[in-house]
Amino acid sequence: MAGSYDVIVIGGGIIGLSCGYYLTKQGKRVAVIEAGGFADGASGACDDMILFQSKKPGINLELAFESLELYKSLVGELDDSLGFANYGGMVLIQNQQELEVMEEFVTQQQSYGLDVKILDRKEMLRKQPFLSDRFIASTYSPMDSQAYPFAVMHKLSGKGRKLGMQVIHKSPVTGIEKDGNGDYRVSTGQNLTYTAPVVVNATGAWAGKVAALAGAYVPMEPRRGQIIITEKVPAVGETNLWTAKYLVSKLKSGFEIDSTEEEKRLGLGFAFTRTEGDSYLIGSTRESVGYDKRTTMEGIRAIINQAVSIVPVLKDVNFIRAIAGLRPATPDGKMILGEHAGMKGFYTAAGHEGDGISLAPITGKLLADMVCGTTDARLGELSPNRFAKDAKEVS
Amino acid sequence: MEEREVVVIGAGPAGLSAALEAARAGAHVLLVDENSKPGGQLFKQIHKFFGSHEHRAGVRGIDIGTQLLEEAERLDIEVWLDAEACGIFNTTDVWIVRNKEKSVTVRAKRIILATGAVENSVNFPGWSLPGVMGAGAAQTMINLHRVLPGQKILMVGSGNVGIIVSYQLLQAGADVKAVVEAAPRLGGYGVHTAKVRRAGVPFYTSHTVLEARGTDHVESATIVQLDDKWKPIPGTEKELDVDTICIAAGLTPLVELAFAAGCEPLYSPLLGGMVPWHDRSMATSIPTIYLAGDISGVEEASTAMEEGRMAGLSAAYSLGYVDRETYAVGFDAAEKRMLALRSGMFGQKRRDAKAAIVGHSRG
Repeated sequence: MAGSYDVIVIGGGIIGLSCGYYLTKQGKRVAVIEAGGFADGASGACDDMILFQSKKPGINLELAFESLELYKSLVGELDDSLGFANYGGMVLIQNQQELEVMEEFVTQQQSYGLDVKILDRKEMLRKQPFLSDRFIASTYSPMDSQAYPFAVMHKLSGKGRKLGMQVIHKSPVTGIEKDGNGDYRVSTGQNLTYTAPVVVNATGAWAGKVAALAGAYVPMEPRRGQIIITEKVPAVGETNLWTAKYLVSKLKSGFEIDSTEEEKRLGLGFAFTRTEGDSYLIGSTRESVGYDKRTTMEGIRAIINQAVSIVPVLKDVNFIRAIAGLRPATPDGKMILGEHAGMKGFYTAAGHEGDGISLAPITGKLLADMVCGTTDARLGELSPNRFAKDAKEVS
Repeated sequence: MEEREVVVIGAGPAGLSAALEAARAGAHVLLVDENSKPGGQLFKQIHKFFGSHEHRAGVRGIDIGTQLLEEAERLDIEVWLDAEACGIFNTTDVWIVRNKEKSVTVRAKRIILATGAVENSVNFPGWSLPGVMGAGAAQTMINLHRVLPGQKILMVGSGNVGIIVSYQLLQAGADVKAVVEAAPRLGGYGVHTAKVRRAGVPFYTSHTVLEARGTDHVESATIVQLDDKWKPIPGTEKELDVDTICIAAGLTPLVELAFAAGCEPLYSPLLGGMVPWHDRSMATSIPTIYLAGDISGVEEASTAMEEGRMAGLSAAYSLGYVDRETYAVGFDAAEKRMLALRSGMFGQKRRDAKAAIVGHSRG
């Protein structure tokens, strides 16, 4: 026996630490149990975006707004800049078809309260003078922001610990059972057992596997995202950048996009964000390769070639590192947040795919509220029980 | 994709020795280095090496470097300079960017990593001012480029690097204002330390640098005494009139290529931190990848050369270029010389740390 707690959070990435932090703040005695070390999973191998423009109007966009406000308050609460910055973002549009889809999308987002607009070519080039000729227009939102994931995790963990939270590393969970009192017994690779009436499964791409230990169903697929990091360079344009290509293909099913076989296999999309350290993170791939999180030459090359084709001045910039993380993807593109039906006290908070950094604070806060008895009617659509039918088919 | 039998990454003492040994055995070797000149740190080592005759004691690093290069030329070893190895994929494919222009993938039957080590930094207010530099960087400036980095030097660290570079800075005409050492005792070989002391340089043990000041370069530094818990003692600050601060705070193995390739790591604080696990033959947990020199644990040029020989010979043997007996004889001789180098006050500790790595069971 290694200890009993009010809540055991499994997974010490940015989502698990946020859950642990907000639960601790509400007075719960919390243990966060992590299979590896600090920032070992996707939270340590991702970009740093708090991105609005990629989100369809609906729960994801709504929660992103709330998360941004929480980030602003965390800067004071955790006494650190958290690498929080607000460079704004532009989505680059390369043809008339894309423009039409984006215009419709931007109008929807505006009606939802997002400060976003379409820029014509001239306005676009004023903000981004180094772009390739092929873009005809772009969107622009001053709201797109960013935070440095390592700082956020370090501070959530540090402040949480000060308030009594325990963070236990190198402890892969091997079993989750109910004991005689109705508490969960969580055992780890070290043959230690932790007990608590509430367990939160915040294990990202591994959430399906961990849920299965408790007999719960979570449909989660790992998607490998590779990203390269450049050396320190002067600012390239005013904002962070994305391309419309993939956004458009997600928004309009059946929309034919002109991609090579390699691009399709790699799920290549362009994301270009300036870090606090004056380097750029350039992504990204979206690959289905199981739990293999190695970087590949093919992936790195594709990212570089794409980046140089979009921002040609990058051909003279060195990249210094490549990283890959496993983004947790759900079947409907929305995260899973809530208690499992028929399993009192067993929650899942995972499946953010590319939105983990954006949504970490709000996820932790909502989860803590839920555990402490406050219900939020909006969250029904994020419940793990929305997949109950699939679960039966699986079993 | 190009193919080679043995690709050696890093043309310092370890990589050169590995390449020579593998080539002598008959393997086709490609030696790559990101710098424009081969030799690693050898060409800035104008001092005579320690050890016995077999270790070329009494010979200067620069002369050893020249000999190794001449031999590499005689053996027709293919050398790519300005060639950066960016990654190793699928245990055999080395991605190399040549002349910052062209990406080349070389499929190797065996890869020997001899990437060396990088100087540690010490962070204090003002540490990013021009004039604060690694002691090794200062040594490169004076001995290779013949540029004096400054006139008035503060050396932080009294290990061999700090002491030797202090002496060479004095020889080059600089004024070494002080050597500070955070530990209560000096760290370097006595013979060099004594030379620097005889030149009148003050040594401060249990001291560290607290702050560097200056507008666009270092104009002065504050040092402070440390208590037995290595905390600064208020009131003991001393202001030094210096324009250059050299940091000789140890080295960290350059392990990125090994770990990106998937080699299993091991922590060895005495040898510089995380190092790839390796066996006695210098093979890592990935059987196609070998190590030599500081990447396998920070030591010195003479041990790096022996490790290079061991790795080069082992790689050639694994490819069938030498028979078992020849391998055993050659390897044992190198290992014996190595044990002699790893003896005495400094060597024994490294010998124990190395034994701990080799003895560590994998996984």
